[in-house]
Amino acid sequence: MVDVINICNLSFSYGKRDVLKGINLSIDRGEFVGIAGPVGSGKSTLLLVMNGVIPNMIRGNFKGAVTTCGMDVKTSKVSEISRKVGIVLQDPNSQIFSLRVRDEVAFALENRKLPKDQIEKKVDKYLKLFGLHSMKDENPNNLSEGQKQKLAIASTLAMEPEVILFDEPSSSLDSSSAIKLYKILRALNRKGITVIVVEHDTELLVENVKRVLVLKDSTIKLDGPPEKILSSPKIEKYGLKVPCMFKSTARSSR
Amino acid sequence: MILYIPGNSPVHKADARVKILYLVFFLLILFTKDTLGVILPFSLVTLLLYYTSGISLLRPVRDLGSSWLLLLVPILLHLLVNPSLGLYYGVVSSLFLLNVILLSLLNVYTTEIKSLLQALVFLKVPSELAFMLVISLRFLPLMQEQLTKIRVSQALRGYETKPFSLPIPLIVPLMHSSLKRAMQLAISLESRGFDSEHINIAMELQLSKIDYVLLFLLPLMVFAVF
Repeated sequence: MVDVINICNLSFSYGKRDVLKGINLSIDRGEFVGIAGPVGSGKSTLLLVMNGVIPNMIRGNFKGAVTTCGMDVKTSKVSEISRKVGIVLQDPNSQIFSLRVRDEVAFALENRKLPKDQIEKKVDKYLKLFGLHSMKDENPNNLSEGQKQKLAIASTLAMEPEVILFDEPSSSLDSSSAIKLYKILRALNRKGITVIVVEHDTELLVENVKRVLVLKDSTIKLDGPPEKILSSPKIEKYGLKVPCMFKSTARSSR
Repeated sequence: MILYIPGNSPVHKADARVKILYLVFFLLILFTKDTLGVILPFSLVTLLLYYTSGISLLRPVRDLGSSWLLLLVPILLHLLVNPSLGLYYGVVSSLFLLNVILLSLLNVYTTEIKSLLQALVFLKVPSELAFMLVISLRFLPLMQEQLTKIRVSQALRGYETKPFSLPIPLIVPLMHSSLKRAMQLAISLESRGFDSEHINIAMELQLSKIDYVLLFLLPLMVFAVF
């Protein structure tokens, strides 16, 4: 297997506050990884390191080596890394800037200077995938929070990146939309795309991802397959709930 | 909300570049010919443009709300400085401001944001500046919405705005959320390959017959006015 993300002895801090400490991580092409942990454990920061936003846009004390799809994040521009790595942030309102739904999806494709007909085809494809095609001429301001989240995801997926990072993608979605979203993510992963998701919901993690990382106090505490990591009662110490399917196992092992 | 209002009027159909050129021309007239004899007929032109665009004058009234009271400031200032002719100069200044605001808003109401961005870049406005302008237009309604939320949440905790005092409990959270949103937006844009120095928009601006007529008339009007 070839690793798409390689993090070696990474530490990142704002002034005296450590956000990430001694992180060593290797993610292979085609993996579906979930990152969980309590609020403030450094999950979102780790995602921003993976696509080069840290240290390129957010300054701080950055130590260690990080390569994403063969690019060193310290020396590559975010726009260069974005050709291979896409990210969907938590708050869709902060990402959507166009005044028409289809323009938002077309934005990244225009930046890549794709021909107009190809842009239109891809815009239609990804809007249909998320059930937003009938709203393509609407102002995103008029969409519900869930629809805005879907639009933010569609506009990243339209870039067809090799690696997709999601920061709590289900946070503004109802449970059935979240299940549908993960179904799409699994389909993308089957096509060979590496998917990395920050997710609080351990039920979604156990049903979908192939590997779970648990972060606490800025370091990776647990790393392994979801059945092993999430069935352990230890995860409650890390602010996570044991998924229903493992509850009896967790109780008996206490 | 200050947004593009889709429509089929000649003002909507006119090319964004032509509209910007006319806006500059109108603003030049207003800046250089500040007499009631010019500004009053000019106000009729502004009203005619609104009528042609099909956009009700109530729209800018609603969008700017109580900010319209600022139009009274020049009248009061002129009256204080020059009681005999103050009313005349005050009315001229207020009408000047009114026309500038109404014309600028009409440009936003009738021009798609993408066309506006493309037109600004075409007219050699630095791309970063053009993008900043367009982004601020996009986020103005969101800031208005945010301000309403902050106002409600502060009122629920007993805060009341007092005349002649800075509404710090409203300004600080608004600034905080706006800066946070700006950072998130910058991350999102760069992560989607945006390069502010090389803006690329698939849509192409095309001049129609009406644009050629307007462009032909523009130098004649400039010659006639100046």
